[in-house]
Amino acid sequence: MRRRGFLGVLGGALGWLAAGVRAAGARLPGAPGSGRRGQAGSLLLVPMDEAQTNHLKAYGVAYDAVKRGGHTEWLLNYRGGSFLVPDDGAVRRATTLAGVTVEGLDDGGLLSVRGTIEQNNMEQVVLERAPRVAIYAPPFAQPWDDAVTMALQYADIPFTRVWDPEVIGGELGGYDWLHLHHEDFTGQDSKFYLTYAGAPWLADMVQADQATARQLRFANVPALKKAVAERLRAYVENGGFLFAMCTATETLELALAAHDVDIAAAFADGTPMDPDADAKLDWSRAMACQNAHLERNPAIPVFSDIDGHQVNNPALRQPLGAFELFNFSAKIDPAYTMLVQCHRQVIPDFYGVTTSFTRRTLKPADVVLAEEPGAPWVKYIHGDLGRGTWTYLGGHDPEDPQHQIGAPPTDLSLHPTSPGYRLILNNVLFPAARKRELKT
Amino acid sequence: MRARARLAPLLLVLLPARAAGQTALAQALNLEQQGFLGGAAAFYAAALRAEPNNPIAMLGLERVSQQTGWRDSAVAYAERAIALDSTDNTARGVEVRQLRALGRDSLAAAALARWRAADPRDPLPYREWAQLSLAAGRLDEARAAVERAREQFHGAAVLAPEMARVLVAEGEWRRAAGEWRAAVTAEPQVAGAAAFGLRPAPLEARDDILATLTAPGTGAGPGRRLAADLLLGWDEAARAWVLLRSELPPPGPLEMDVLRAFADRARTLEGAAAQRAAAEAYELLAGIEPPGAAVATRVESARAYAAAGDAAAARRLLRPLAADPSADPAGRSAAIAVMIELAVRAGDPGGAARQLASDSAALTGSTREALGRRIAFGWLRLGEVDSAGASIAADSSLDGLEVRGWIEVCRGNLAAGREALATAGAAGGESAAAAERAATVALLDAVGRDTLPALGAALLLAVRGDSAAAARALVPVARRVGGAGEPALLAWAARFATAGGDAAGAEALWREVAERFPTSSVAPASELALARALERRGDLRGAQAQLEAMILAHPQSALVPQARRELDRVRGVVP
Repeated sequence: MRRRGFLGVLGGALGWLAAGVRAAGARLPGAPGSGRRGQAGSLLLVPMDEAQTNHLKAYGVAYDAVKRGGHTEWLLNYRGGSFLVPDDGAVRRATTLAGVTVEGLDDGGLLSVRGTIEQNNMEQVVLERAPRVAIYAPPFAQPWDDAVTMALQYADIPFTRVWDPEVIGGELGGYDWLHLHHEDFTGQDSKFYLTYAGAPWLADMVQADQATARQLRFANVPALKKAVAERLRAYVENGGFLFAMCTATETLELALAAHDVDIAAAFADGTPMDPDADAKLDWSRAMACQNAHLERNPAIPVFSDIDGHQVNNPALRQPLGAFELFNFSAKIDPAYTMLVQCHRQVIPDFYGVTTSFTRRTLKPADVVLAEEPGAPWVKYIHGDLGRGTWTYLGGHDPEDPQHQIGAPPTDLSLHPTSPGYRLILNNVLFPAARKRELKT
Repeated sequence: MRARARLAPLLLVLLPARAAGQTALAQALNLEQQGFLGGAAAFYAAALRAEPNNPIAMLGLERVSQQTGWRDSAVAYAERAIALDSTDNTARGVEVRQLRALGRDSLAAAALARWRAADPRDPLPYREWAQLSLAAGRLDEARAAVERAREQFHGAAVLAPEMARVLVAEGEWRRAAGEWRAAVTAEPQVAGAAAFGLRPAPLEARDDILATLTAPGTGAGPGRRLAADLLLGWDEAARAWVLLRSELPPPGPLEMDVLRAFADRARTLEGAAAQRAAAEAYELLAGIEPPGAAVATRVESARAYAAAGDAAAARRLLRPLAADPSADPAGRSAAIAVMIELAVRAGDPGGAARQLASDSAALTGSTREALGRRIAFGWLRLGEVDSAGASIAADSSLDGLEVRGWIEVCRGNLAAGREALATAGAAGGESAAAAERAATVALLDAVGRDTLPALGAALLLAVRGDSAAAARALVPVARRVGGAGEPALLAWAARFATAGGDAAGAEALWREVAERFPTSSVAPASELALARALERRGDLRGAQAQLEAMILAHPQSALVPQARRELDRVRGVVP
């Protein structure tokens, strides 16, 4: 029985007391007093390199500082894309509660930081206005279904949920930044019709979508989603910042290109896909992609060859590798640079229904932000349209590479330094800098 | 590594073909194991050039080609192997699989047709095609392959596992059970796959499955044994055992294998019914096994009976073994040890001590000491501290020193107890036990007394299982001790109050420690515990405020990372 015998009799778990004893003398990097304290009115540095203990919550600290009107800067490429935030009580409290590492800066320290930035491929960007954030997600979606929702909640960045009625009703204009939950804009409920036939969650999803289509007076769900896609495109043209992951990227492109052609299977709209659908797609309407070919088999939850990994097609499925973030000139292209701020240059890939974007189907004006070197696909792309921008990141959940339906949700408190999630949060702060700095 | 891979053909031409092939194969396996798939592919290819029909190299090349995306290469080597030996089924399978994976369905179908033509009596090509179709989710294709095989080979059980998987995918559980019954009758070795395939069946389908498997007729025996296995997995161990016992194979090795597999599996399950089923199966097995093996099986049966709560049955099995000086020494020793443990567990450390004394000669020294420690804990649970001490008087091991430490603490000899526990070490044994020792040493340091019988008496109450009384007894001791000992003892009292079901009393004590002793070493742990108490009674806002207060007040505490995680959970920002 070894030494376990006494556990039962003394109540067992007394480890808490031992931990309390060990606590004496311990020192945490993010705690007040652990860095040099600045003078009143001075700035704190939030390092975003390996010294940071909670990168994700650091974005929330910066967002909150901007929201409160404090002078906040994003130091692009400086120690992993660090922030300068006001050294005030609110920031100290927030960083202590969140476990975000901060370093006090005196005037000399600040000068040194600015000098380093001036002499290197770095830039300082003032964050002026906290973006109003919306997430396009169905009312029945669990927060754990979507990486962006999880990231925003974890980082304490406020957002509003919008769905088809709000989009069709023209309410997107009230938001600076819009993220698309992994929605299927072809209106086929991710083509899970056969794979997950009988699953209650799928039945609920189909029923809710059909009810929304009826409520908004559309003939069927594919027709509704095409109209939503058009509104999303208009949102970008009018100056909105659109960010999408997973299925939303590819299906938004297909829905836009399929404005005048039926690309939905019979189970979705009662009629089979137009036999000549491929040839009838109008790619001039799409934002990022062109010349893609549709997957015609309704039983395979794959939409087209825009996705390079084809995770749901066993015959074509490609293994996961790693993707590499591009280096941009921070002084010339601060916008692209913002989107790739990270403490890691190479990040393990992760699957989604749409995992990647084949190079062949990209439009010439697309900007590739991250790629898998040597592979025929890229991971992370960005582009302008009208007065706004769109950004696509393939994959579903950066910390759940094999993501399966029904898998346990990701607990971000176990991944506070996730480089993949940082890419999502870069996008949220992106619109905060637009007035002075964005040149794209 | 790439250079090594390129050099492979140059080096290998210098060796005789077979030796070169074996060398390359060893290199390939080694590189694959290390994750150098490109290099491994080159060496597998070199091995196949030397021995085109080597199945290990062929399958290795298929594996790594799949991951490196060089499937075309595998196809070329497979075709070469087939050209040299048309009966090479390994190569035939690789050719078909890789062509399918490349999306060249028409070429794959042609390769399949050639395979069938090469040996029209072999159903393997159909099986391969059915399995590929199943993996791709093409159920109609899989079904068509099975049906064609059945037409050609005139057997209802041909490709039964594949048809069963098709039917499971379609939700046809009853018919799938029929296919699996046919499969296990024809090929008993697929029983594990059958159980794996049918176990996920929904509740409403299970009766149909069992009826199909247990119906009389051909295959009733294997079908019922499969049903028993399924019932075990569905938490119906008693029913499973009744079914299995009624349908055991004729006496012989198969009967023993069936009983052993059932008992071993039931033993790993939780619950008294599963343990009893295991115990009865082991007992039956012990009756038919050769005498040498039967002793260990009988002891395992007794352990299972004890785990099921039937000490009498356990003793019935063990007593003859323990009393038989001619029995296998290891088996007899195990039987005596289990009997002594049973006595301790039954609250009879005196009886256990007597048996240990009388059977001492049959036990090794370390077993005697381990049993002595069990008996000591048994005495402590009865409050008999002196008897506990006597039980380990001759034990000089580190584990014995730890027990001696606990005994001294319970006597109120805090300095002696502290020294023994500290010597036993904070790192030895299981981590929970080590943490318990460290916590106790810290408590005794905080109390700072050499002797304190009232504290020993309070802790002894906890040892005896009366946590609520221990909590009540500790509070006045804490008030009397004062100083750093007071918050430490109050925190222990709170812990005991929680264990004793007095949540309100515990919460009041945690709060007292947090408010009156905010700088004490136990304050962070107490504040965290207070937050948890608030959360347990549904006061999430209070819990959140308490966690925030704890983090802000003790930012350097080692408990802060945990508090931050709990804060996120209470706020609903993580699952």
